Amino acid sequence: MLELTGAITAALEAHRAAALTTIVSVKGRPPVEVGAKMVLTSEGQRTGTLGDASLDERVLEDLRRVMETRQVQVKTYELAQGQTADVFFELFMPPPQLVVVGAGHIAVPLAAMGKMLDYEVVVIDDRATFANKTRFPTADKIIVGDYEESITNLDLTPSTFVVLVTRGHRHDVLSLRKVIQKPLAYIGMIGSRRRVFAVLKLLKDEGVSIDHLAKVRAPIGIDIGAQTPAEIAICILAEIINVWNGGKAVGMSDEARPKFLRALQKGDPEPEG
Amino acid sequence: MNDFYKKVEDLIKQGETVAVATIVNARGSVPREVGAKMLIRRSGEFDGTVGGGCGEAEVFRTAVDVIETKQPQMVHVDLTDEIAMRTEAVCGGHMDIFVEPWFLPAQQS
Repeated sequence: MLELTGAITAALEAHRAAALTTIVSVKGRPPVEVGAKMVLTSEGQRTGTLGDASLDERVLEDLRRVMETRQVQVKTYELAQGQTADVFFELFMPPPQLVVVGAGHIAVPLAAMGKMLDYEVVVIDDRATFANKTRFPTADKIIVGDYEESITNLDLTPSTFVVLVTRGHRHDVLSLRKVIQKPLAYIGMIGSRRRVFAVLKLLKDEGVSIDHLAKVRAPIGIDIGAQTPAEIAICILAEIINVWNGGKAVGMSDEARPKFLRALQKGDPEPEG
Repeated sequence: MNDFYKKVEDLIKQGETVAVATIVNARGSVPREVGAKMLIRRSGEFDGTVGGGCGEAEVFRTAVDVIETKQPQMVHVDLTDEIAMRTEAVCGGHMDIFVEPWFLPAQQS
């Protein structure tokens, strides 16, 4: 049992989520035991077994969905006709990470407030005059370097929130391309409807799937009429909190998305409305 | 929650068998959420809660048995029955609480 707790601790230290799965009840005398346990990490590493190789596989397959909802729950698996096992999923999540791409005027309050919310805050910019300790005194990590390279070197996980607030369209594209296919908690991109749509269209033309494009939160944030950099940071963080806690607020992207996707699928140069 | 297992780890490293009770299913109005946990020792000491008065006594009784037999058990707590309604802890739902032993296999302890 120490190897199980050890695997959970190791995963959390490496900023990975882990799940402890346990057979809590069975019906019809399947060849597995109540109390059997297995630890899974978000990377798919396994420790222990539930006592049946195919059951282990199916539990692993379901893990991603369970981690996305962050809901502890019981799932029932049929092992053979009339034989079922109830598996309890218990989740262990590392602290969420906020990656701020672009160190401009919105990034400053965003990084500061992100720290207040106990996120691990990373700031990236290719200009040392912007990405520095004076502007971001509380950030956990400040990276000065090429956007693409810096993002590629980061350890991005399903508890990572990426906010793209770079100074221009070109940097957004470069950065988004690197993260869009990863299983992140959140990808948000700032910009007007037109700028946002142009970025999505470019990626669509490069072959990025509609499913991946649909995950981008752009226009970013929740509509609270934000004007100043600090207000915009709140509007973005409100959306992030809403996503992380499964709140009921509707983001600006939720409203724009159907039109964007329709236009992308039809190949229109601009979304309607 | 990791602190919880840290405590479990510390105790079983000393050779103790402890019971871990977890709410795995809940319907209706219940005092705690699915996933709430409680560590129970043979001495009766405990850590955490699966809902206080509401069904916890039954969990304690089962925990003693689980530590003794080293076999897990499921406790079904019905908080809608008459007895529960007569106590102060009126909740009005059902819970399934899984109670399992944690211990080191003999060769490791």
